[in-house]
Amino acid sequence: MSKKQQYVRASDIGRAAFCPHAMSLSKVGAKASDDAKARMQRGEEKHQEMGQKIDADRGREKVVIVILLCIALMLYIMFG
Amino acid sequence: MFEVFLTAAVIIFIVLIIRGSGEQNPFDIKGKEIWRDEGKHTKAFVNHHYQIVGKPDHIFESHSGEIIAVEFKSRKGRVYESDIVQTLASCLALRSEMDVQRALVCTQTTKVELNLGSDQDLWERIQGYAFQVKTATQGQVIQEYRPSIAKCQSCSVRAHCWRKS
Repeated sequence: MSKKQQYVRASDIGRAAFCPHAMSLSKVGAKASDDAKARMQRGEEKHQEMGQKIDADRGREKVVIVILLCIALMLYIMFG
Repeated sequence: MFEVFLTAAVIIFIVLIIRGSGEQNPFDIKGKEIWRDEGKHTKAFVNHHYQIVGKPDHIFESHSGEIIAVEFKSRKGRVYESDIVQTLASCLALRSEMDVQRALVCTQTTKVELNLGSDQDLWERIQGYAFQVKTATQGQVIQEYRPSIAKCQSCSVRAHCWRKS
C-alpha cells in the first residue's frame, strides 16, 4: 500500500458511515449520476452563500464601530 | 463631571456593541470565524498519527478562546450519523494544529452540537469506517449495505447498486 493510500479522508469516512457499499463503488470507479453532480454543484453554491453571509455580518460589525466612533467624536467636539 | 460620565458611557456602549456584533453569524456561535474551507485550493489538515486528512467548513474561536469546528450541510432536514462521523474525523485531523473541543453539524434546519473528547475517543468512533475506506482504496468492493429510501434516493452511485431501496 502506498503512503498516499494509507491516509484516509474525513469525507470518505462519512461516506462509509452513510453506506460502505456506495463508498467502495465510488472508490473503484463507479461514476456519479448527473443528478448527484448537480446536487453537489448546488451544495457548493450554498457553501459559498454561507461564507458570504458570514462576511456580510463581519462588514456590518465594522460599520457599527465606525458609526459609534463618529458619535463619540461628535460628543467630544460638542462637550470637550 | 458630565463630560467624564458621557465619555465613559459611550466607551461602555461601544464595547458592548462590538462584543454583541461579534456574536452575529448564521450558526449563532458567540465568537469569530478564524478559518474557512474555500474549496479545493484550501489545504486540508493532516493528522499523521491517525493518518486522517480532513477539513471542517468553518472554524470559530469563542470569546473564551474555545475552538469550535462547523460542518455545514446544505440540505434541509435532519443531521445523519454519517455527517457526525465525518465531522469527528475532520476534527481529529484538525487536532494536529488546533485544540478543538466542540463541533457543530448544521443543515439548513437542524443543528447538532458535539462534545469531542480525547483523540482516542474520536478514533474509536471512526476507526471501523477508516478501515473500510482503506479496504476500498485497495480496489475491494465492500458487501455491506445500509439501504433506506431517503439515503438511496440521494446516493450518487445508485445506478450501480443492486440492493437499492
